[in-house]
Amino acid sequence: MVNSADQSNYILRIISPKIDFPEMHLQKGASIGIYTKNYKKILKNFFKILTNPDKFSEKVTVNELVANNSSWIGRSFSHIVIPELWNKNIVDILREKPDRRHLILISATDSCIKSEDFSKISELCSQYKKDGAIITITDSKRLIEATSDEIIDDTGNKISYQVGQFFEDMNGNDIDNVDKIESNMKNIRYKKMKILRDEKTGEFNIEDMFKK
Amino acid sequence: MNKYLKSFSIIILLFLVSIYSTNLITDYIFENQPFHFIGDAPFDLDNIEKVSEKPSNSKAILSFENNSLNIILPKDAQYIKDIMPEINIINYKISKLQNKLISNYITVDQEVHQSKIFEISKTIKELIIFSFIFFAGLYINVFSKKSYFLLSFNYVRQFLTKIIYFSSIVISIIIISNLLTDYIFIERLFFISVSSVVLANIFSKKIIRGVIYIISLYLYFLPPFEINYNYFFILSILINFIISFFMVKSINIIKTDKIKEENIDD
Repeated sequence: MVNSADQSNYILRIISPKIDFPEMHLQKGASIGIYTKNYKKILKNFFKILTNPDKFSEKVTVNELVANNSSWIGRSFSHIVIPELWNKNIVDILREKPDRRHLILISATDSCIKSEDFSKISELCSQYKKDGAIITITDSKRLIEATSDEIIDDTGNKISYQVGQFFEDMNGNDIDNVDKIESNMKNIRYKKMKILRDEKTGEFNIEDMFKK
Repeated sequence: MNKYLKSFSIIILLFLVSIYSTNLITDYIFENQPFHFIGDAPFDLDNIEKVSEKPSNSKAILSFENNSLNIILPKDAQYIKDIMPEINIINYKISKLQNKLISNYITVDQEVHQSKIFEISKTIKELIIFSFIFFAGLYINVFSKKSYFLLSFNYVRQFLTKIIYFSSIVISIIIISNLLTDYIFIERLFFISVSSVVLANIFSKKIIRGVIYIISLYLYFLPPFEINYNYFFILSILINFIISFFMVKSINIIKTDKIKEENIDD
């Protein structure tokens, strides 16, 4: 009984996709981030799979409903959070999530998001994660760090990350030691996780691995 | 919802202010435009320009013969109601100077065209109404591929709010301009401006949108041939549906940067 209950908790499953997209098993409460430079291509492929499941993958289930024969299921259970499409602030789109849409897709670049919005996005995501699941497809390191618990790249390989207490100032620069701040007050962002991958080259930062 | 109300009131207020102020200015200029007066007159009057020959366009041409004031109105003049009080004042002044009762004779001349100032001010008002509808349509972007894409993901309520928002802006602009301005044939203006919005919403590039704006202005003010604006409207909606259908089908909404892709392939 316990097993069947566990199995029915899948929000999204994409099994052996035929185009460039990692295989996906997304349980309720999970939040996965796809961190890639050409995120728009991956996003396009995701839409293709969601709207035309039969053509582009072996099997797609949304909310435990097999979506292969109709694109309606994929279309009406997912909430698309892309500022470019809505012409709105990303926080507003997240707030206006309809109740029955449990699969949340977030995609945005750093330039569409204000620096002070990341904590709000993170709060809303952890709130929505209780009944649903979140996919983030982006090239923005900070957005992935705000929303995701697990990070992969466009081929499905896991990207390692560090868990701990990290502090940043509002421009995204690391603060090594909080005690060294000179001014009486400073806005600091607190992060629980940090991607071990260089933002510019997309490669592992090996020195970071050894620091731990 | 609150956001929509805010931008709605800003747009309508801006429209009200601009149409009302142009109305004030153009009315003032038109009222101060002098009448043309042919022939000798044994008196001086305000707001009158004496000419020897019949001008090609005029507000109205007056002449005084045999104790009667002849008024020659241009062909198809739309402002007869507005200038009659002024002409009556002139008539009253002449009769006071002559100490005689003077009668008005009104004739219409086919060769004289109506006042240039009147036509220019009408064009400016039409341009303002047209531009407001057009740019509000671009701002709301209802008929774009992006909103169709969201509609395909069953965001029906959001799509309907946008349509209601756009139509309420257009309807209130039409009501206000009907109340504040005269002589403008609003139906033709409405059909051409809304169909230009429908066409311009297909494209996201600013240059193409600008070209559509200029072409539709050209079609409105200097139609090269007789356009049935109803068909124009239906045709533009059809074009919009067909092009956006293919754009949404192939998911062209999110552009991929070609340069980036090439770099990754290397």
